[in-house]
Amino acid sequence: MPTRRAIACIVPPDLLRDIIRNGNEEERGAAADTMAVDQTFRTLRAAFAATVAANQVAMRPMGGMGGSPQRTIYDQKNSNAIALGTVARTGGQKKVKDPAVNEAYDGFGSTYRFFWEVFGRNSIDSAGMPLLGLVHYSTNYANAFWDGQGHMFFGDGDGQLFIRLTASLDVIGHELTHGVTQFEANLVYQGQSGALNESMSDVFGSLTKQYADKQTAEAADWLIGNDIVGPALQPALRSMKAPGTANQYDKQPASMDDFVNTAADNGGVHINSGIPNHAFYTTATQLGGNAWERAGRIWYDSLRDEKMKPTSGFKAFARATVRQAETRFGAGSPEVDAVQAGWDKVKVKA
Amino acid sequence: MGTRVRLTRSGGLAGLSMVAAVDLDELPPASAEKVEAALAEMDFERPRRRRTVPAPGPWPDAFQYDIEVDDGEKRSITVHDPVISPEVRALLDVLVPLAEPE
Repeated sequence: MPTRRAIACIVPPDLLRDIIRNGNEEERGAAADTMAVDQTFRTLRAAFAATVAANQVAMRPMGGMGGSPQRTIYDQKNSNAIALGTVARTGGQKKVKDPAVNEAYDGFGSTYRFFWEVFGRNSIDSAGMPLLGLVHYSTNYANAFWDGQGHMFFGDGDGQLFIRLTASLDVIGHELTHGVTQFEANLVYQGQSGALNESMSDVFGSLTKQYADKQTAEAADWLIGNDIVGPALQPALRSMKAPGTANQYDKQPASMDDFVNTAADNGGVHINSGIPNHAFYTTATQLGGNAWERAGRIWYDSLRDEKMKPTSGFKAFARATVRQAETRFGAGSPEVDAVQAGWDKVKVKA
Repeated sequence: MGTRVRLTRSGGLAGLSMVAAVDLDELPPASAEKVEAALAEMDFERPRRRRTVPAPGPWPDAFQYDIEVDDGEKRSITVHDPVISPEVRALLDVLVPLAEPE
C-alpha cells in the first residue's frame, strides 16, 4: 500500500488546496499534513530514501559503496497483483531461460552504469536504492510503468501496440529515470510539469541506450521504443529528432506553437513532452559528439537545480539549463549557445 | 435503449488514447453479462470521493481509464493502474481488447 510520505510527492498542490477548502475534517487534516510536508519536499525525499535504505539494507552486500547495482527481478506470472511475485533473478545470479527476466536485469544494469559512470549517481536515490523489476505483469499488458515506490512494472505486450516491453533499453532507462526525477525535482505528473517529467525519462532513456551503444549524437536514431512497438505503432513510439512523425498516431508537437491542451493522459504528458525532447535533441546535435558528455550533463545538473520545483514547467527548466550551462562551461561558451538554440527552436523563452 | 458503455484508456508509456464504445445488446451474451455484473458492483461515487484524500498516483506511465455509462442515467468514473477494484478489472477484461486508437 502507498504511504502518505510517498503520496505527498505525487498529489498536485491545487488538489490539496481544494481538499483543505472542501474536504471533511479528516481529509482536511490529511491534506494539510501533506501540504506542510510538500513545502519541504527535498527533506521529505531524503527521509524517504533513508527509510527505503533502512528497509532494504539486508539486501545489500557488505560495504557496498556504489558502482554496482542491486537488482531483483520478480515474475508476476501474468497476475494483476501488485505484491511482489516469485524472485526470478537477483544479484550476481546467472542468466535464466526467460528473456524478459534477463532483459530487465541487464537493462537495469546498463541504466545503473550510465548514471554511475557518467554522473556519479548511485542508483535512483543516489544512495544505492535496489532496483526492483516486476515482469510478466497482468495479461497481454501493453505498458510499462514506475509505481513511485521503487518498482518497475513490465507487461508482455498485446502484440498490436507493443511486444514484450523489457526488450527496449531506452524504455527501461525511461522507467528508471522516472524514479530519478522523483528524487530530484519531483515534477508533478500532470500538465506541463508532467510533460517535463516525461521528457526527462525520454532524454535519459535515450542517453542510456546511446551510452551502451557508444553512439554519438550524429549516429543516434533519437527514437524511443523502436525495439518494442507492434504493428500499430511502427516504426517507433516517439522521435526526439522529429516529434509527431514516429507513427501514425503520433501527435507530439515540436514547438510551443502546437502545444496540446487535453484532459486525457494526465493533461497530455506524453504529447507535449515532444517540446522539451526536441530542445534537447537540438542542443545535443549542435554540440555534436557524445550527447551525454555536455548536453546530458547540463540536463542532469538542471534536473537537480535548486530552483526547480515540483510544479516547474518548460520555462523554469529552460532557465535552469542556461544557468547550469553557464556555471559549468562559462557564459558565452558554445554549450550555452547550444542550450539557447535548443529552446529557441521549440519557442520556449529561456 | 440498451446500456451504453464507453471506455477510454489514455496515458501509458505510449500516451495513446484507446476507445471502446459498446451497446451491451451488441456484445456476445457472456461478455454482456460480465459487464452487467461488473456495473452492478461498481461504486461510481467512491472512486471519486477517494480522489479527495491523498490517492495513489497517477504513477508515471500508468494507464488512466475513464469509464462512462449511460442506461438512461449517465455516470462515470476515472481510475488509474495498478490499483483497480476487481469489478472494474472485470469490465476492463471485456472492453480493453475491443478498444481502438482514438
